[in-house]
Amino acid sequence: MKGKNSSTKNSFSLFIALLFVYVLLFEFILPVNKILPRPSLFFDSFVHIWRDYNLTSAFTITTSVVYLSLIISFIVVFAAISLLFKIFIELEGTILSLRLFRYLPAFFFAIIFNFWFSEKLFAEFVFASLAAIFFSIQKLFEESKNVKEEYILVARNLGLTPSDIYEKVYWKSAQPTLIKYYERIHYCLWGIVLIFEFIGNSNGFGYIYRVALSYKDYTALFTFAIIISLIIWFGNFLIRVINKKLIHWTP
Amino acid sequence: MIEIKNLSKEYVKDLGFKTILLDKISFSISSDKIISVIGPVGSGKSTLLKIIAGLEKQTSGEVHHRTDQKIIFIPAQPSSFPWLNVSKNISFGLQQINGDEIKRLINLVGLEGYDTFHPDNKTYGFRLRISLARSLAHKPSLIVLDEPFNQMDVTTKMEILVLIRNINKTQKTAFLLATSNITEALFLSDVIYLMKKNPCEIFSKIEVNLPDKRDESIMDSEKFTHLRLLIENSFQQIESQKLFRITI
Repeated sequence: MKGKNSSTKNSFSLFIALLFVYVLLFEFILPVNKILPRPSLFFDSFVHIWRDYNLTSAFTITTSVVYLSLIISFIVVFAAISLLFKIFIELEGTILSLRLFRYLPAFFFAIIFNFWFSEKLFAEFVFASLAAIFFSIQKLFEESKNVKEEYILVARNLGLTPSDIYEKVYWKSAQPTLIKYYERIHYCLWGIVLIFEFIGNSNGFGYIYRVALSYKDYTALFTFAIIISLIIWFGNFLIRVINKKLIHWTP
Repeated sequence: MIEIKNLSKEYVKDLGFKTILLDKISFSISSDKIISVIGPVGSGKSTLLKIIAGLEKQTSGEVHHRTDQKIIFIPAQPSSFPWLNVSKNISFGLQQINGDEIKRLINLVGLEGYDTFHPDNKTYGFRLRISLARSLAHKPSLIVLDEPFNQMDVTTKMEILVLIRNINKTQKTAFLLATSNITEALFLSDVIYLMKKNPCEIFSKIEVNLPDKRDESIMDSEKFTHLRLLIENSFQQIESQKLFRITI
């Protein structure tokens, strides 16, 4: 616990130090440069950028898609847990053979979904939800092989049915790793949703990025990057809080 | 009475080679006794226990017991579930939960006041106490213990050994212990079977005629030392040509 606290403290100190260097260097020493914009430029242009690019709408769409997809993926996994573990155990070979598709990049599927659905927002939501479900199931599959044998033996010996064992042993045993893994799914989901919106050219932060890029509006691009970083940081913080509240054991 | 008759286990490895792990093992377990099986590491003791508990299938032979007789298996590694508290761990798998009975078992194994504690990061002794109480909650005829004391400190081990003997005497539950440690088997058991490996066979039966009430001091007694030497010599004779590890 002490190590974790000191790591958070170190990260915060590093952030403050970098911010100080950035302000000092680019506000006072090199106000005109081709490396990074002046800090005061962000503050001056923030309100204009927010209004001109309709960031309220983009913010609502992208964050809703990302976080609703995360919630839906957890609900789907939770609702189908017995069936999923049954499939993992009985069809392990078939599932392993599906690994062939892991080499296909996310934007390939983004293009397909954009092509299939005329309603872009719906397509984006389905795409993000399926991606989140896929990542969760993939992790759950890995974890199904890490459940301690002694737990399974005891549950079998005490007369639990296979579906009870999946629910009361496999699922519980997989939860700490899975919920921790949601931090990574969260990062990935932001990446692929932004790609989807960028390709789809319709709505959300990805689309705004595309527009700003076409105008070569680098101040806006930097501002978006900072806003997205803050949202991701906050989302990650929330996942950690939920993890801490729900999970009190190690697998 | 639970009877094990001509129990054999064979594995067919790659290229069709057969490995005989257990070869015609026969012995019986009286309802109120503690039986130990001492054998070298890798001799198939765990497999034998799993077959007796119905967790693995034998190639041939039988385990005779009445259908209402439950056999509960406690593995070598801690098996209390870290996501459940002590009380819920003990009632795990029960069709009907009797709160008073759970409380009684918690007290019996020496965990009073720990009802709501979670076993995660707790000692091996703590977790074995939970496993014992959980096993007793199912009203078993036999509890099989697969080398449960391997990672325990001496003091905890002694406390648990005394606890198991007390449970055996007060609850009339039989125990079957698999171990490679002669001292813990002698302290705990009424009967000891000695096993050799390649293939695993029982080659000797020893009646432990030590007093029912046992404590640490019994290990210094002449009878205890005599029995220990007897077991060591038996192993040395049977395996004189082979090197294997028996912890004393």
